[in-house]
Amino acid sequence: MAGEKEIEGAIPTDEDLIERFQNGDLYAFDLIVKRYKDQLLNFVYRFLNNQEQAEDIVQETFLRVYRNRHAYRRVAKFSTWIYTIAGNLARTELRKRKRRRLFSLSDIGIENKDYEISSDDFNPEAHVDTLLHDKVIQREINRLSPKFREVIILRDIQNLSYEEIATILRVPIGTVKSRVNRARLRLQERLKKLL
Amino acid sequence: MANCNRISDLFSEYVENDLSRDDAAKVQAHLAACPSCKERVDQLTALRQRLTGMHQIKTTDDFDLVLRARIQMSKKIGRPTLLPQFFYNRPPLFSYAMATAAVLLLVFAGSMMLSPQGDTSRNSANPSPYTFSKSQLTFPFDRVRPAAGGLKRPASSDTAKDFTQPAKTSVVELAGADSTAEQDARRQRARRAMKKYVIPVSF
Repeated sequence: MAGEKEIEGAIPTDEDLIERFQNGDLYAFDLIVKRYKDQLLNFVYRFLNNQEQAEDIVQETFLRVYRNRHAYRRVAKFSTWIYTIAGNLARTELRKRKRRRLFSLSDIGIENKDYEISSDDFNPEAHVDTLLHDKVIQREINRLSPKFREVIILRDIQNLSYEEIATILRVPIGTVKSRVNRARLRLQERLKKLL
Repeated sequence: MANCNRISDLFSEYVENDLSRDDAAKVQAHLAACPSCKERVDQLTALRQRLTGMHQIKTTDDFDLVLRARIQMSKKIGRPTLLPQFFYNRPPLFSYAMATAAVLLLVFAGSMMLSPQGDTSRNSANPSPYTFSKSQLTFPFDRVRPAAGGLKRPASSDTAKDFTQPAKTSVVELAGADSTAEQDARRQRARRAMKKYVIPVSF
């Protein structure tokens, strides 16, 4: 039953928690939420560049975990399972956004233009403001195609392993590696002045 | 250089120390001879550090509360509750426009409900509230006749008096009590007068 496998004082693994939750322990679900909410939020936020939407999608992710908890099998890592759900939702959101492009004023296109103008006179000797730099980097990440964007976020911002990323995206590891490489080279090219 | 392009495929793994010894040696040899690639690799290292060190955002305080509410809601309606994206990224004035439209709609609906024209007999004759026969959509001239005062404006002198007498102030009342020639004529006049105002409805 719940917590059977737990040794006193040991931190339960994600897989233990979801198993407890599958057996009806709602507190285990709360722990999962606590463990993953910020992590997933950062992933989706970097992907969509909109905190409100990101939070909505992370909530939807947990809602789906809640509703489909019995679909999870212990053979897979829980983290890749939940990331797959969040990633799918975020990608769907991106596609919807594309369709809505005409109606949205704050779309990426406008911001890109804005940045391209200001980047020409960007002065690397200027006062270093980490947050500002983060913003510039974020914009460049958002200029990458979604395929490159998701691998660079998962690998370099979220520090997931290539194996995990390959499982989440359901592509071979070699593909992940080459995408990461190309994404990094592209970012390096565009952020030269900042680096 | 073609060689630079080929070797750059390995840069990412080189930066992560993830290359085989042979490949790593190949890259190192190239970097020693190619300053532009050396610079590139240095920048890639810096980029990786920057990305790893990017600030982390946190969920808002009411995250758990909202999540719980959504779970409850999804239990009730039996499906996910992702908001239609129409509600995000709208132009700033959009919400005001929507609010105004909603208020206008409410006022309109309210006035419709409060107006004395609500005819309950219609519902009993016609079970569905959305289907009407043609006769229900046109003015029932044969069933109404002008009130005693007709459609003529009362003379200004006795306006006040007229308004105190409810029977005279109503423009139409149900016919059927008597039908004299005078009333027929009045009905004709009323029909002509009403035609000006009633838009004929036909399908």
